[in-house]
Amino acid sequence: MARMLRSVLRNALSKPATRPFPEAPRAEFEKARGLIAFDCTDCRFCGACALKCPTGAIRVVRGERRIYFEPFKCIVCGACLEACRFGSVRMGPERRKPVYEKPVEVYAKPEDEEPPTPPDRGA
Amino acid sequence: MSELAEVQGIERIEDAPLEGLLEAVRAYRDRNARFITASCLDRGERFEILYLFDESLKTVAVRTFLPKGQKLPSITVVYLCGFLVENELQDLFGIEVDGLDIDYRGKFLVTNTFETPPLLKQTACELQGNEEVPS
Amino acid sequence: MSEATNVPFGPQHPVLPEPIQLRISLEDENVLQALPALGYVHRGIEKAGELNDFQQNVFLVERVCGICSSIHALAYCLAVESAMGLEVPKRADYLRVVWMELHRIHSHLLYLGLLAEAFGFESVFMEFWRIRERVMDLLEMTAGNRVIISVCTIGGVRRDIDAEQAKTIREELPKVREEAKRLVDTLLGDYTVKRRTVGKGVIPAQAALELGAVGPTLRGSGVAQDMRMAGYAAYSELQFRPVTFADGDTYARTAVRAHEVFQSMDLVLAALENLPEGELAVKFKGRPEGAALARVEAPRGELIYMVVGNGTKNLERMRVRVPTYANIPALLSVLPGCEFADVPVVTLSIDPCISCTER
Repeated sequence: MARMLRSVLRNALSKPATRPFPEAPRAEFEKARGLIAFDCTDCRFCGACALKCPTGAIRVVRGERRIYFEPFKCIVCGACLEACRFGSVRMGPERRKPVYEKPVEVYAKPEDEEPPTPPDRGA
Repeated sequence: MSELAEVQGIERIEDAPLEGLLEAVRAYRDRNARFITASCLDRGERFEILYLFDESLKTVAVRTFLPKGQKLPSITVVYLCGFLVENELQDLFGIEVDGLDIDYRGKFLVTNTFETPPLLKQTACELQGNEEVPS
Repeated sequence: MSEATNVPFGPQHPVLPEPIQLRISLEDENVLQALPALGYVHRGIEKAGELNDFQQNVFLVERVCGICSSIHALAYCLAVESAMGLEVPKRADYLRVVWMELHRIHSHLLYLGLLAEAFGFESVFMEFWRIRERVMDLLEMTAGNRVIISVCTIGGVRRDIDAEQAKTIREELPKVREEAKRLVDTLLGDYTVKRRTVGKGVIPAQAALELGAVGPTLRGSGVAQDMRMAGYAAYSELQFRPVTFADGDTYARTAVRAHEVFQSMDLVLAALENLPEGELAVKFKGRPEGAALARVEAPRGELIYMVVGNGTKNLERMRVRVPTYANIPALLSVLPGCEFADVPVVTLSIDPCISCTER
């Protein structure tokens, strides 16, 4: 009885074990595998990332000097990150948000005249 | 390469002719070995089938060669638990197993969506993605 | 004898997280016969393993199973490493043990929760999953993902556990242990739970061996066989004795898993304690040419990968034998004679993982 009362009191007074999700999302871990993004400043469009990608989410077109990246094919394994010798692949801790469409992200060197389409991170 | 010379992690491979397969398997049963699984390889004209057994944490195998088109004797008379893997052989390799205890007739894992059994080498599958990188 | 009633149990059923159908013939409330119908989630991963690059297969095999995913990757890596004759660094071996045991903890906690749910003990289910979340957090902190942690690679591991993370794990695990202890005592000591599990679905030791049962199903029948005894990764250097219970019923299988949770915590702490310094992975060149077989202990039992290389970047054959595959015959053998109300609990007691089974 005493044990039960203790449990009842503890459960009544302690904070809930869950958090109100959409309002208060959990803080990401520092090393969490999140968004993959390309930084083409040093990129030589060698295609090592595309070759290592197990799902074929990356397509590098050397002639156009563009990287086409399909974020919803990506399984965030980080193989491209390890394959890149120029440090052009970045991985951040935050997760991708749900979206209505699956756009292809296009990356190019900053000096290339045509501006790359801004990656849609979802609402 | 037409047959496995040795497999790392398998203590010994004992060859058994097709007609002597059941005796070889029964010898393991008599020694109280645990049947692990069977594994099949498509070797062109014939199948190479390994029956794996566990003998106090060591893996031993009985190997048999099955010419394509012939029937494989079922080991379910010795090890009843072999029926799952033999049904799988029927499905994925198109091997006909003779005397199978619980027979799904090739509809155990897959239905008849394939023209040829999927794990045969001749069954080509298109791999999506990973296009050749233009240089 | 009255006519038998046929009841399809599954493919969608509250206790089944994954689709399998058991066609059950009943006489009154007693099961006469049970036959499985599989094939709902066959994805052709063995074929895909032949078509993919052998290095990319590591990511493929991780997706065979949604619970013990990284253990699949470990088994595949061990097989390829042994086919290529690679020597894995000591530190990688120990880190592998840490992650695999964390995986085992969360998988067993999942099972304990699901079992409680199977006979309607919802609050214990919630409690188990609450503490499981803390283990998941440890996995995410160290590896970056909750379940598909992608830490193994051919030749070693891809991530490191630094001193600070090791400290967090060392502090967190005793707390989880304390809470798990309280819950396990509740679950295993409860009168109602015992009425639903003791003596249900008894698999005698000899039958378990003959039917090829593995893992906790086999150890719950009193056979001390655990692939970790074979000493892959760093298990040969860690103190380890398999947990066995002799009764062979649902209660014994549950107790095996409950005790393995604590044993795995000991192993994680011991591995972190003895973590040697050194490289994380060896560089390798070449392609697998020989054949190799690796057997590891997944949470549900012995997991086997056989790879046959042919000197190209694709494998000749990748064979996967998962633990549930071996446990289904044992399950089918105990269902006849059960009461129909016990079927969900007995089915769950082998911890079925159907995505694994069908690959």
